[in-house]
Amino acid sequence: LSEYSIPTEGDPILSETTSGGQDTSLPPRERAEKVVEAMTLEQKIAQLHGAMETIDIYAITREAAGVRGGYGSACRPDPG
Amino acid sequence: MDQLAAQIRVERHVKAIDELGIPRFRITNGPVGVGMGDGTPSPPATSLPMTIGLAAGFDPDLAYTYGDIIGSETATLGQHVLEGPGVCLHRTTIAGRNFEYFSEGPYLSGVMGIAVTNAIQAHGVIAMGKHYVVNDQEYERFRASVEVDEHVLRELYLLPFEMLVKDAEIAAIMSSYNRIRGVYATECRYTLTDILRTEWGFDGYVQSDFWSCRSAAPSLNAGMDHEMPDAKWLNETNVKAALSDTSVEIETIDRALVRRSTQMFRFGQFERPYDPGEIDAEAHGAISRTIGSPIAVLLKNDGGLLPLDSDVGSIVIIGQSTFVDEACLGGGGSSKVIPLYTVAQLEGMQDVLRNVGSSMTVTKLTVTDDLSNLDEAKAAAKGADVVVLMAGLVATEGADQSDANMLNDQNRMLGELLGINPTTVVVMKASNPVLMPWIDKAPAVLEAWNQGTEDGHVVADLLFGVVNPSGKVPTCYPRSEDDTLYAGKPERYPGIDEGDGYPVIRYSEGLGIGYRWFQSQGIEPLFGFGFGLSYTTFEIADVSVNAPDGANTPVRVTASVTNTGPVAGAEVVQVYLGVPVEGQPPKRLVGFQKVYMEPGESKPVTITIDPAATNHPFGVWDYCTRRFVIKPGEYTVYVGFGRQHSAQCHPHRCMRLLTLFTAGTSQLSDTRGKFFVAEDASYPFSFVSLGSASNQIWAKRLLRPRE
Repeated sequence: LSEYSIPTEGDPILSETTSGGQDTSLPPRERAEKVVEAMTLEQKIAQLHGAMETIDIYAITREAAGVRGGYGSACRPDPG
Repeated sequence: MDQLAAQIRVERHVKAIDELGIPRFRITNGPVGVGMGDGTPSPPATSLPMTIGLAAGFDPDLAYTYGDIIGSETATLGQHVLEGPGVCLHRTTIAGRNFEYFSEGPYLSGVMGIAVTNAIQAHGVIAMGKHYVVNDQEYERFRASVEVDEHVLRELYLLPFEMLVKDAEIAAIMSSYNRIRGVYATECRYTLTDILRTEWGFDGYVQSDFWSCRSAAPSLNAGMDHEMPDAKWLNETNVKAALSDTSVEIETIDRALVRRSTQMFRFGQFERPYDPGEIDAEAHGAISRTIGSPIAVLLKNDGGLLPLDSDVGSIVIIGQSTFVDEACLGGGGSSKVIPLYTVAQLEGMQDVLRNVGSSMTVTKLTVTDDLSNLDEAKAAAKGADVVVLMAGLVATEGADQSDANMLNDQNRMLGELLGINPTTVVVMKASNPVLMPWIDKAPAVLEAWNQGTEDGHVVADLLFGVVNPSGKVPTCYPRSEDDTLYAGKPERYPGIDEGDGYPVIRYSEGLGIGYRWFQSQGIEPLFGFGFGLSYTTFEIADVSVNAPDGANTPVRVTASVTNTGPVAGAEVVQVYLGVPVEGQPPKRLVGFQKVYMEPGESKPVTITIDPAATNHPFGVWDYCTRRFVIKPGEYTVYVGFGRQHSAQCHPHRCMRLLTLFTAGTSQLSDTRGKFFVAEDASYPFSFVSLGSASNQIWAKRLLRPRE
């Protein structure tokens, strides 16, 4: 991954860039770019998703509904 | 499933990064109030009327007030995102999530959605338009694929989203579960990037619906920026592997994060400390009451039975538990709001009667869901001075209705109870238009919708005339399910497995959904789009259409509306356009204005049809140029309101017709791309579009006076 020049946790360049997003004089997009630039790869990935524990919603709901397709399927089982 | 529900309630966030000053990003569901949000437990909020009811108001100001409540409470509870409004269309009247969406009409949906979005975002809250796109049924919603012609997609299903992006600068869009032409919506670059960003200029971010993300690299590359609620796909293992095998690039990840962070900065969310406060339940409940009353639709009122005299002796409320015992809060699923308080029907009616100084006695009889005590209900109906029958439907996410009937044999219940007492009114509390096989036996029917927290007060306000209903039907009530677009057409609904292992839903009805369907098929619905009675009467006069330069400049429709009845009320002036293009339905709604008036008062109305508007009022999708164009031809403007139409009369057939304009042929030179209206055009008239020189012969033919 080093070829991407992505700062990682403990990387010294990180501390130099963390304050960029806090400059309220900058337009929102520039602040956003700076705050993203300051993230480690792991932080970036953590920001891409919600924090709920991963579950297999399709399996759970399929089992609950007792039909193929599961949640969202317990209706109109017979087309027409 | 209980565990699942608990997890959904308490884990609606993205983790903070304290050292970078990035707050915990808190997300709450909508769109009918602040639904399940980030907190333990999920915070209660004002339970508002369902979105379909709000649309019935035909009142963007009221929609703004609705969004103001939602935005205010979202901010008060320390949340950053409200997942709403929902602007999918009511393609069928049995879809489980229709209550979260506005209407069968794309223009009405867009107008109301813009108002709600503007109000939410005025509170520094990110609004999220959903569910993008063609997520119009619950059956097999995780798997089904929609096949839809491009002009149908553009003119109907994408239109309200386009309006949200262009007119409200909505900060976020939620991609849906379904497939679009075989591709999962979360992986569909065509809709997520080509249309949303390149064509419309969307500058926000796209979040997946909960678990609608189906991949890492394909989703990110397509333009899906944020996975919710977990990291099933965008976890470290997957993303690092994708970076390693170059199926995704770090720039794409940065792009996704910058998009979301930009919106957070735009709304000041980085600087806002988490400091959840307390909702003013009473004040917001009072506002909910003012929203809920005018959106009710008076469907039938033979002999002016409504409003009820508040001093006639005894009144009995009869219905099944869901509709008479507690406040009818509305649809189920992830949008469910935990109410701060509720007003049940009996309590609400007693409150209102007390306030008007009535000594009327009110009792309630709950009919069991199996109708086993129907005889008892009949006796109660016989012995009361006034009978209020309550029935309805509370639809839910995750399941469509099995048919368009109410549950628990309520049609039989009403059929047997109607006719016993001549002073009987039916109050519907529905989240979808339902069949009413008993309609001829009912002298008065009021659609009050799933009202939410103030249900008891709202219904009583309406029944006793404290508030005059002024809602209009936002989605047609079919007379029979045989009249619907899906009757005998399983390929249209619920879809058919064509060999790929999942249902394919073919939108082969084309542009013919809702009132467009009924009108193009020559079928009269039970209650058509835009229909709704009042306790007063209105007249419309001095109607004119001013189109000095055709569709090159805005067309102005003016009229004068007078309240000719005995009480204050509101009426909706509706403007429809007949577009002279083969395959187009007879009419499309292009403008409306709600007017509140005291008895005897007149008000002028001006409705502008702007050819440059984001709803493309004159436009049709052109396959050659891949854009909306205005085709040459004779356009017809229809102006009126639905109040005068009986249940048996299709509303728009009775509308005043403004057509039969004849332009001089001398005006046909140099006509490329322009509309013309004769200078001496007098009422009634229409105007003519000439798209290109090659169309002139055809245009001349059109310009002959109609017989």
